[in-house]
Amino acid sequence: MSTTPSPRFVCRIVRLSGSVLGSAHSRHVETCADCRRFFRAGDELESALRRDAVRYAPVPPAGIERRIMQAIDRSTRAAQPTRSPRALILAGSAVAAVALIAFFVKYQAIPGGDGTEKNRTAQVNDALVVAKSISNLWQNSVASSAQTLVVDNPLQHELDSVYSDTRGALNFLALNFLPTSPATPTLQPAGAGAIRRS
Amino acid sequence: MTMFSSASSTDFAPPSPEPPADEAALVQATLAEDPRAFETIVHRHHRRVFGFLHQFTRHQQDAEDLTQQTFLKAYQSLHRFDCRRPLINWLLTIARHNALNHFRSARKWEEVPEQTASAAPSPARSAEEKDLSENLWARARRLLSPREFEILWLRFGEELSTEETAKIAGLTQAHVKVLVYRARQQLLKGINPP
Repeated sequence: MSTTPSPRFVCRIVRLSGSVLGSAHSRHVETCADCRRFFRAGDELESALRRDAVRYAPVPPAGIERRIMQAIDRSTRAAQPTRSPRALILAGSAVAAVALIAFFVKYQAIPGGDGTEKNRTAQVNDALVVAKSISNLWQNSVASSAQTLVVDNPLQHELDSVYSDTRGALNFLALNFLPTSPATPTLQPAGAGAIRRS
Repeated sequence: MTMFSSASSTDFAPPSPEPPADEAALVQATLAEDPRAFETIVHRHHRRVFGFLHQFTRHQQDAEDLTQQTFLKAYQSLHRFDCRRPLINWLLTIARHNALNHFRSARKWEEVPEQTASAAPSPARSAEEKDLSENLWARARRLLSPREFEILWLRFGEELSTEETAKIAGLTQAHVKVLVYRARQQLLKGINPP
């Protein structure tokens, strides 16, 4: 029984193992024409595969880069948190109501107000200025982002109506509930009283 | 082996396996919300991602849609990218998962017909078929199993190492070597029948 492996078996081992065998591999390839042919064919095939991968590479459609970036922009914009119009209206109304209450608390608590007509008018004007500034602040900070999305912003109409309601309420409260100075007697024509008395 | 006689290893430039030095900087700039940085990444890699997906799908529109999805997913999970790896390998991994998911609920990808298939071949179609018959990859697609074709493409079409190919395909390196060996033998046998 021969222990020497057949040449075919050795070739198979060398081909399967590649260069793992090191010097034994290269020694065999140098002496075996079949294996030389085998490895040369493999190298040529790899080289041809690399060449054809470049030569026949599919051309991406025109504008694909732009479309990719647009898809990314769309997804980024969609991922940003948005506030519902109802929430914006509620937030604006709450801010206005708090400002109104704060204003009344402040002016009712001032001791020793002289209560003249001029001061009352100034207080009402101050309140209107405060309400207007809050309105502007809200409009600039919260509603401006919504304005960029919606050209005719219904929230702005809502805010305007809240402002006008606030203004009306302030006028009403100032007229009816703010302390008034003693009424100055109005001069009546003497003739008129004389006529009534008689 | 006459068909390789015109092959020259100097008429194409294989892509570099090393990641470019500025790639990590581009990733960092994208994470810092620099809009131009990711545009540069897209510009640099979209051809290879599209080419890989086109090999997968054989359909221009599907390949484009999947390319978009690949870059979108990459953008959304860029913070998880390991900058020591080449970006293209990561993109190809995402692309491969996308393509597999895309066809999982529909037909298997090897069953997808080529976009250019038609009943009556036109002269242009005949010329294209002639080109395809000379293209080794078109032959490989017909002769090899989808898995063998994919591995062969990653290894020689994308010029990835055995280790990189194994990572992308989710196989061991030994498995990749066996698949490459089998694919080469199959292809040589198909090209030069005994």
